Amino acid sequence: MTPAKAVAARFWIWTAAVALLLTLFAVQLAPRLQFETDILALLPRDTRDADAARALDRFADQLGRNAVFLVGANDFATARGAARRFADTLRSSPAFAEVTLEVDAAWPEKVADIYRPYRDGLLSARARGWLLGGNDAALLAQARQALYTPAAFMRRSGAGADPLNLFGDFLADTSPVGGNLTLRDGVLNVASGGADAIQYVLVRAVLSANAFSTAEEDAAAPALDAAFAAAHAAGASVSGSGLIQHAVAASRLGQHEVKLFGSVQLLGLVAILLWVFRSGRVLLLSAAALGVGVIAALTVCHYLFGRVHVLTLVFCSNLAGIAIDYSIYYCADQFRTPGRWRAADALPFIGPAIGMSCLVSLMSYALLAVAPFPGLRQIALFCCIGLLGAYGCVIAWFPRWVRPAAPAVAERLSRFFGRAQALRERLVTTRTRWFWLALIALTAAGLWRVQVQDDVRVLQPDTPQLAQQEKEVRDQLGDSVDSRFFLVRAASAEALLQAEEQLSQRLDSLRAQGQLKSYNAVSRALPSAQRQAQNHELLAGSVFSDSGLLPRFMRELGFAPAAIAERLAAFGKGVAPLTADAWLATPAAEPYRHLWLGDIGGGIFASVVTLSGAGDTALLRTAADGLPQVSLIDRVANVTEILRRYRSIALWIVAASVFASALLLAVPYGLRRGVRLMLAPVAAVLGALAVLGLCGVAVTFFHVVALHLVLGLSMEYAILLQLPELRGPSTLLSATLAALLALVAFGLLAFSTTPFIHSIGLTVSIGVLLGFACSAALGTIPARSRSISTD
Amino acid sequence: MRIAASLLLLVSAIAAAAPASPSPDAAADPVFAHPAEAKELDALLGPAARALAGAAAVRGEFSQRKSLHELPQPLVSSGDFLVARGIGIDWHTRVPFDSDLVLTPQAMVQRDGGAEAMRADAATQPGLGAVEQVFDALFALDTPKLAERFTLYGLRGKEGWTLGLKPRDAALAKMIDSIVISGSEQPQRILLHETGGDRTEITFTRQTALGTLSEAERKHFK
Repeated sequence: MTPAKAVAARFWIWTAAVALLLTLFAVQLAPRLQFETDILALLPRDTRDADAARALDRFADQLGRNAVFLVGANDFATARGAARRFADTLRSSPAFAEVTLEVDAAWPEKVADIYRPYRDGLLSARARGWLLGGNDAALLAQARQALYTPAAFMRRSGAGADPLNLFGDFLADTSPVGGNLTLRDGVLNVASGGADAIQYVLVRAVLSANAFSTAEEDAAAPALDAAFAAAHAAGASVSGSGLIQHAVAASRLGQHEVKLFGSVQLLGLVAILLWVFRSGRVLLLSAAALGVGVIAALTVCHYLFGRVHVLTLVFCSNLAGIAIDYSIYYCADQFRTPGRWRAADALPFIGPAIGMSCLVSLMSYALLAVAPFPGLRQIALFCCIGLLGAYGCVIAWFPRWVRPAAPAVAERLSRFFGRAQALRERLVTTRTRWFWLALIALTAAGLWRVQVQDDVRVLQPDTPQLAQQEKEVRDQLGDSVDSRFFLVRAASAEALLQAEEQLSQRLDSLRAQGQLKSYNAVSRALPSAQRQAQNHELLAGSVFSDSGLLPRFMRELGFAPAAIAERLAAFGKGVAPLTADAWLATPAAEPYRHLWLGDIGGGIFASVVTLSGAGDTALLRTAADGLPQVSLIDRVANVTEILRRYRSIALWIVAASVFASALLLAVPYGLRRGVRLMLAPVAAVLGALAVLGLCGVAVTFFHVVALHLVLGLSMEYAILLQLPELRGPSTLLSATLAALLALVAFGLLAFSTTPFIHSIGLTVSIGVLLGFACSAALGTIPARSRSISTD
Repeated sequence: MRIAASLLLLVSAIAAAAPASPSPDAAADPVFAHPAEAKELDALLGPAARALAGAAAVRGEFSQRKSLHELPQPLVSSGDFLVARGIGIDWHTRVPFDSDLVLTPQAMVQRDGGAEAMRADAATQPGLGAVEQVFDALFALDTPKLAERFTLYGLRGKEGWTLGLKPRDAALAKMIDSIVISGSEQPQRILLHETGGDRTEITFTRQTALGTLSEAERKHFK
């Protein structure tokens, strides 16, 4: 096949493929393309324990649906009125499944009714302790207190039916933590301390679906906005706590940044292309190449991952920054032979360099995907496919469709870059050894000062306003759930409850030592069948026997013997214990439902025990010692550990990339030149690290990922500027434009409010500058490289 | 989310296990024919309220008679109390048993001979806050605070004044039908009608308004 025929064949095959892709995208994908906004979805799963991961997913989903709002004003009536309007506004949105303001006054009675048939097997933890320890005095003191003193107003069972308040104490024990809230006028109220105290009213909301599905956010966000506005209009302020606000903020920020950065970049791109090539055709073709790349990338990601992460989209801009280079390289070739150039001429000359550059980028992204980091894999795949798409367009379409620019423009640009080329060579050859030594010393000093950080905070957008709200809610409620919790797993619901009870015993002793403020476990409201049987036995032995505590105390209160005998006879009239299934079906389970994960598949039952005011992690870990069903989950530490591990993996990948690239370059150019070509990229990577070190920026996993991008980009500049056969104004123009566009793309990312996008943008910007400068400098170092090239 | 999910339960403390039938003579006191604003009451109560309102704490002795319809005989007790405004209530029963109960917004503590015998956090005793707030305002005759939760009534008689309270809050009304406080120089008697017909009568003697709390007293509430 002649070259011309080959060009034609490529053109038609590629055009057909693109047509197919576009049809597929328009028909299949575009209507149901979904974006993921959960930042944690970027992180790798802990693959060592799939059951745990499944259980944690379920817990996180349940937790993520809940939100708490405090509507505050200077007086209670205003706060209450505003809270009502706030709640009503949320209720009118289908995004919220449940919005609670008023408290059901009959609820405790309902709960008492649910437990009453099982009361002969129910005991509070402390009453059980007294009975087990034979501490009758304490039990009686509690009973008297609940009859005579103001504490009587807190008792939850009748004095006649339950003189010892054993059932009442159990009911009080099942009431989960209420923090500082008190009930007032049917709503939950808390007042800040101080002279001009603010009165807060609590509103609780449950989302219909996961907070992080964008569809939900789209529905929830306007409802939240409207509710906040309604409360403000009623003279109150609102503070919220819950994932939804963060999800909405992250999504808005992401979309805002995608739009802002995208449009600024597009403008820059259009301006530069028009300025250089003065051709609408080149602009259109470049846009087509980019478009095909992005659509191909979206399509593949959609099929492989199900959902495209919104941060992958932010990376679109960096894909564009690299993919546009191929168009530029191709079109800039016309300035090699201004006036005589034909589009097809460029292919044999610049084609291999573009191919090499694409190959190197692909490899560098592919290496990025080696790390089992889902977010990175998606970004890597997205970029690989995108680059391939753009490369295909350039190779297939450009030889046929590009027209040379007007001769005058070509002449002028060619002259300009010719002068620039001369200047570059003069500058570099007049360098002094001292300058280089100082630079190396500075780099070494910078590298010496490099610090690392693996904190989870690098993942979260900086939203001080939301953090302030969270803090206010926490401060007012006086109860915050720790990010550490226990996951309990067992082969049956009964075994699960028994394991929880074993754990509770240890947690109780931690509480007694002041190492834990409180904890919340399902088994508090639902004792295991085993525990219920034990309780029954205890009650039968020391309370309801003829000489037991109950007849003694009833006599003290003046009950007639007949009444006492009747009460004793009523004990233990053969009611089966309360089972998990029965309990779960009642409203009594409501406050605990989020802790009960139930059957998580594979015949495993799971539940969560949450902690509040917990101390040292090591102490908590000892609480799980010897209990194989219990594991302590520390999400913050997990994420930190993951980030730390992958930071070091990513560093190794960068190092591996250097060697792999040198070998890859050695195939066409020889080992020596391969190594030489890697000098500038390595210098750029080290230099970027050194700059971060000198500026005192702590290096995170994401900085290292950025270094990887620096390596790939710098290799392009090195290939263009250092290969003698490509030397000339046209390649200098190509490299300059490429670096400029990459700088625009990543410089914009440096303005992102999401810390890790900012890190990547900043690092790559520094690296691109350094890589371009080093490639330009090394490109004119004469002597050996030139003698080799002339072989 | 534990906080949120569990809040519903708070009501429990107040609504307790309220018996079903309301008492026939619960609101029979003539004071309930005379609704009053908090401000008018201040004038009505006169020096009694002013002395107590400025005090950091009120100390005194009580004797209490609780008539519970479920029990065959009334529960009679006596002892002394200390209400420290905004800090807590110390309810020390001496007869027929010795039991010192300290209620603060954070915890309910039972002391034996000065040592802590039993402690329950507000976390496990939901409603503690509300009970503590109501008693605090009640014993200190803090009419503006009381007006937040009750409709107020007032009447001046030959021997002194009578103050009537009816809960506005549905949950509180499930438990308390009405409260009548009477006194002359100082509040002398609180009569608490519960919704189920139970009634509690507390008589005060030897009340003293304290300007400050001593360090020992303060420590007592820790």
